[in-house]
Amino acid sequence: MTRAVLAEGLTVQGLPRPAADRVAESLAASGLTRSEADEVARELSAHFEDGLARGRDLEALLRDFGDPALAGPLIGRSVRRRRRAGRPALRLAEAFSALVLAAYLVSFARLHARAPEADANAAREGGRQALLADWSGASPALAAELQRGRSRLDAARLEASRGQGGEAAGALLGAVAIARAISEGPSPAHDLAALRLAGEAASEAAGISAAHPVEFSPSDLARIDSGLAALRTKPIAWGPRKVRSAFQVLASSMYTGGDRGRLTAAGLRLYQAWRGKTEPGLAALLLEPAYFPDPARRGEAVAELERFLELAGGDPFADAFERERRLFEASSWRTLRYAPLQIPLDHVAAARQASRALTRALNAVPAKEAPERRS
Amino acid sequence: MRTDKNGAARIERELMRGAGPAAVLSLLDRRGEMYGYELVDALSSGSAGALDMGQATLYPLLYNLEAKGLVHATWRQAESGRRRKYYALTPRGRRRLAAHRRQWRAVTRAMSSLGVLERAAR
Repeated sequence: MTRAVLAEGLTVQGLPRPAADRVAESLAASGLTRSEADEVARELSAHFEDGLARGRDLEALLRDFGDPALAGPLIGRSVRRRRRAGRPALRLAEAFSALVLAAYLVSFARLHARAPEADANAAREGGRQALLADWSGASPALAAELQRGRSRLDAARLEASRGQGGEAAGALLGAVAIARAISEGPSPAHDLAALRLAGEAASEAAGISAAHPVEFSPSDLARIDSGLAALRTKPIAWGPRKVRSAFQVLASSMYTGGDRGRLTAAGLRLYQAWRGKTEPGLAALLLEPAYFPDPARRGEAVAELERFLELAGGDPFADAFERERRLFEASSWRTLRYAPLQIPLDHVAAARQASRALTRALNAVPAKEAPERRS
Repeated sequence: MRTDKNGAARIERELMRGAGPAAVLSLLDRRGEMYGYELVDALSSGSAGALDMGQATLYPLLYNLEAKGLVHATWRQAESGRRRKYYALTPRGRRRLAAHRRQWRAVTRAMSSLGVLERAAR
């Protein structure tokens, strides 16, 4: 509000011009609302009037007033303080907002101030994909092996349709051997790929036998049966040991060190990459502390994973793990607090499903007598 | 230490910050309600000019005391017909004044024993 506009509107009528100007100049620098400025102007004017009524010199009163450039801001601050003091709800809201902002800033600093335990490079793009390949199976080498196994299954189907039982049996057993070789790999993704390929091989064996009952010689059938029997006696299975080991590697790229390690912003980037999200924008970055205000410490996440691994062990048809996982996913508080755990839990769920599919497929291929060959 | 044209000592701003509120609360306690010009006049005459303050100092001080709940203010019509804003102590203001008095007694005792204050000639 300009001094001229303010002076025109203020209740300073009747004052000598220099006094009115001094009041207006001070209030123009105060930043007060019109109604507040008007009330202060009345009080300041009354002060001049009282002084003049007692015979004081106007010049002396103007000198005693003080510097309007300093007076204005001082008056403005004190009037605003008085205004806030008169509104307890406003003060409470301000205090609450300050508390929320402080909590947000602490959460933001916790996420961004520290680097994860492992080399920061591990959390950048190429490193992220390599880390997540342990779970997703996206490594080129593993993908190539899996494709090789599936090509053997395609060959088995083709050979059986041509009446070449021996070649079909050989291709089937070749796929089983590739599945077993894959299961020797170091990562959880190897276990899952092996389970899936073995299940597909067992399903294919059942399908081919049913579709082409006369193409297979007794010795071919015996070969297939002994290959599948080996899957029963020496099963391909997913291993909690590989899950634990891979999660420790993952955690070192997501958390700071030790059991009390904190989740870092780099760790969140890894989690988001696993969920298929590219680098977050500024708005998403600023909202992160609100979504992840209190992530679990590294030791807490490891302990929670152990609890799930214990539930997942044993019979793949028991549903204790699946029940607990449903409860976990139904709680947004838990899923955000233990966000990194979603990576190994997704793997374990898929591995258990593949185990069940393999068992069902094996059970669908009982050992049977060879049918008579067509002459 | 600055002096005004009459030779009276004017205390420095930092000291005024501590002394001003205590002096205003004490005057209101002794005299009941007072308005702005009355307070300025009483501060000056009661302190031999040491606590002279202009409007730029007094009114922010009064508004701050009001914000802290130590004084309350009401507009009233004076006998002259002029409307003035009168200030009076609140119960909280009385308690704060008592605390100020304890502190100032402690300070003056300490300054006296350290020889900062001149000893009265016997």
